[in-house]
Amino acid sequence: MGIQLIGIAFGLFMAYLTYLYYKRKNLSFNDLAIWMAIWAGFVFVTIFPEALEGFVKPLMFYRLLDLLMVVSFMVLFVLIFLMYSTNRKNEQKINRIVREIALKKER
Amino acid sequence: MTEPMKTVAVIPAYNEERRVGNVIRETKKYADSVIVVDDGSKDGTMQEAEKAGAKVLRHIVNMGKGFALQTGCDRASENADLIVVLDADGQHDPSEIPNLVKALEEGGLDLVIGSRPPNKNMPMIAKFGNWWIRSWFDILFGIKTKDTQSGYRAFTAEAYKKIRWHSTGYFVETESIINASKHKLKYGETPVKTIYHDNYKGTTVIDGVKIFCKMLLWKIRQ
Repeated sequence: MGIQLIGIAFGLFMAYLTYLYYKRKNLSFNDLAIWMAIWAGFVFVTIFPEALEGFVKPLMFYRLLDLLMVVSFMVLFVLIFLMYSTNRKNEQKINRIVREIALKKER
Repeated sequence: MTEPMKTVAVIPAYNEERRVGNVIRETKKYADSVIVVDDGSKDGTMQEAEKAGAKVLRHIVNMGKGFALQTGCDRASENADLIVVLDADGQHDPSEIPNLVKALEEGGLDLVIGSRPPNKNMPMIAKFGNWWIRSWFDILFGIKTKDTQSGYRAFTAEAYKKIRWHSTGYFVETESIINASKHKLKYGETPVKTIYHDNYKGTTVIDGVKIFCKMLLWKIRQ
């Protein structure tokens, strides 16, 4: 029960943080919808872990916790990859902007 | 009669208000024009460079030595025959520019590296770092140079198109030699003085480690 309470509190806190970022216009409505769905799913699984029980055996996992760990790592790696590629794209854009400004404003 | 080659010096500078003016004034004696790339300095580097009579290109934020050099060389290659690059901190003596240009012209070379023979002024860690990188450079790429890390170089504007690097930091020196070798350009070395100031701000140990790791990655990629 203790771990469930922590999970629920974490999910709600992240949902609040997401809303705050949306209100500050750091996130679009689409971002808000996607992240809220993720946090809602997280809270749901925390409250009703047995909802995933049906996946444990067919996927050859020993315990529900193992399944959650594997899925969590997969999600994390996807997020890291997306962040890395976004970062690289932004880096290239910054490079172009900085160089163009420098070359246009020669003194 | 052939026209004399137009030589443009490119000097990347970051927070070098104390020395950049003098470096430019000295460089102007040996180059047809001087381009300073102020790499987002927070001090008066840009004003000092303008006062000393250089063309100044300014990055609004600090982008790294390799990137600054690229900006300067892109502009220089528009109307230069030869490009000389040197540091803004006074580590390179501009009076040696004619030696580099002479080596380039007389040797029919595309790229000349001003190699710094180790002397007592060179910090021990810099000596060791240069030796380490040089040795691995030879092992990995089969290229023998006395000084892979020297930022004092001269090359033709044509050669620049082929050695144009992608590194934004201190890997620029190594990458340009690899590119020169890859494109079968003729390159050589000429000795230059080694001047180290007390407040040396160049390649650090961490930069050295990064350069080493990047060399390994380059080798794997090849």
